[in-house]
Amino acid sequence: MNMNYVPECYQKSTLILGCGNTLFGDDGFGPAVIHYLEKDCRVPEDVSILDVGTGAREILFTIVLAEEKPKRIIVIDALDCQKKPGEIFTIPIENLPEKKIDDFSLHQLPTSNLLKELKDLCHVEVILLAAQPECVPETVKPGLSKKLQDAVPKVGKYIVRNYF
Amino acid sequence: MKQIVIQPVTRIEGHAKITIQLDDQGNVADTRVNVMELRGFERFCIGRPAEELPRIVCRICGVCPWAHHLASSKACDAVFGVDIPPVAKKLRELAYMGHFIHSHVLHFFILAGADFVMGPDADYSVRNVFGIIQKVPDIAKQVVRARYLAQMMTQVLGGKAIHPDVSVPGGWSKPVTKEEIEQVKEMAKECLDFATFAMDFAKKDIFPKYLDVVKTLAAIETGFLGTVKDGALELYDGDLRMMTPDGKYEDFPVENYLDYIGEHVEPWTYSKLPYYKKMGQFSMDLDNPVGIYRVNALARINVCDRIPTPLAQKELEEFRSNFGRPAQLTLLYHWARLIETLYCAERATELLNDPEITDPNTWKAVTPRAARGVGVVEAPRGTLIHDYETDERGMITNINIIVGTTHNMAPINMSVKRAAIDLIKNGVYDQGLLNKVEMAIRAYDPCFSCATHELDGRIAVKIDILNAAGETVDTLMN
Repeated sequence: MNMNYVPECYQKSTLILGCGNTLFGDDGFGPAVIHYLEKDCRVPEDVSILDVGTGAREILFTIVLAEEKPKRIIVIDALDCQKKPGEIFTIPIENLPEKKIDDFSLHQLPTSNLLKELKDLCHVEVILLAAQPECVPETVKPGLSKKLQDAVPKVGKYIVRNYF
Repeated sequence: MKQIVIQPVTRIEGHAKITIQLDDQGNVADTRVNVMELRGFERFCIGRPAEELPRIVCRICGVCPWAHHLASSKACDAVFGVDIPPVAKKLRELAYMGHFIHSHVLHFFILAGADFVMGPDADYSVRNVFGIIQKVPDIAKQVVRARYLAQMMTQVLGGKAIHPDVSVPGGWSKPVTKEEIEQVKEMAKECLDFATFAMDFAKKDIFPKYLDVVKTLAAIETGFLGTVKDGALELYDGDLRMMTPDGKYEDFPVENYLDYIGEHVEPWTYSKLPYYKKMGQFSMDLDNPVGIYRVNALARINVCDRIPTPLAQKELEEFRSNFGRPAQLTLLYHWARLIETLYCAERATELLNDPEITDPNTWKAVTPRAARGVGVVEAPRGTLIHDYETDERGMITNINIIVGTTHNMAPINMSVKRAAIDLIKNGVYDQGLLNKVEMAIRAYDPCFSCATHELDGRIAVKIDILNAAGETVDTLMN
């Protein structure tokens, strides 16, 4: 197969996805971290960073189908796990809160999520890097809370230290 | 009396909840497909400079950002009163063809394809993307390849594929070079080959096997709405055409849409239910629907007199000789989507061969003014309307957005009811109900994520079965 036209994000060994809707307060955390990395850090050659907004599934399922996959996918997202607002944590994919699974699912199985399938069936290392949101409003209201604004460089630096 | 709720409808974008109300005999009394609305977006936009909107609207939805991006750009062109340079129109349309191919290929082969490739009665555990990889690995590879190419087309032309910002009020911010055009030509050529293959493959190996299902499942009779230019199929620019079930139609300029499209309100859903205003009323009665119309691929294929590219036109003729005009069968949306994919690849090739496409004058300056502007494109999921009003400083004072899936809410409700009535007799139903109701909804390729931002549950869709007393007696989930 001629692979000349494979978008960059599918070719690098590490793919970092910032997920979330920037229109809804702290839900915009993932994209904010990507912007921080773009602006303030030097991204290595073999790493691709991408603000995917609410379109993570579009990318993930193509990776599931693709012959060549990244070795590692890091997902950055705001996850409500009843922690202290602004707290940063990693979480095993199996423990993803049910209400978040849809973001990573094509809804094809009861508890299906593409991240789990990438890990179990495609043997891709999948890391979920999360921050506890303070406020995700019910109506459109962009902008991170102060606590999550402070968490952005922390997660950014963590990524640089560990994966760059 | 029992009520059935289906949740989740797998492989549709976003979330919905289906309730089936049974009567005392255990037959379907009523069904409802509920979605949540994206709330507060209009209010958020008011007071912002109009030119910010083409970028902001891409954030509404990660599934069809290009459709919102272009509809918003066109609404801004209209409020600023600018006729954009011809090359800008062509570049917008060209990039949009890439987006359409990307979207339609996903839907046919992955989201809906599993039902057909694996069979609608296949076990749920294999009726998914992994089932496809195992059963038809070569096709899975081609699907990935076609989507790469389509995505790269938009990326080369627009710089970004996911949250585009290249289209601006007044035109297109980035002229393209001859080298870029040559590169995109190769991609479009491969997409055309794939679209041709997909059409032949589906006609030979998919549709004949499931013709019985196609002919019966969720069949309803409605009108259709789509965009045409001189009567021909058009996705980026043109007049709207409203066709009634008898095939008669009238065309109108997009800015007059409020004269033709009414918004019916039901107490059980936040979603407004658009209808053909000139019919005077709204009824989802299956035997005697009034004012109901559908959008998306089947509607566009029905309303157009012709398709202006040769291969797709040939397919249209064959389609019409099989199913007439307007074709009403709900599952024919899939067939129509493949014809459109072919059209998009052909149209992209035409635009790429236009010598004007590398004209560097892609943008005209705009001046703020108080005005109203309507921008309409055909999104992959149906007619998308952006309607803005600005004050003399160019700040938004009023905004109305109607997304493709919203037009289809009433027909989706009717199709689900039709399917439920056919599949539930005297309180007896099996797991097949779930699959078939899902298939009915999936034909419309609904995208509930622009209509919704659900913060609780996030369990897509489920069927609740309620008895005559309104108590949930069964819940079907995948």
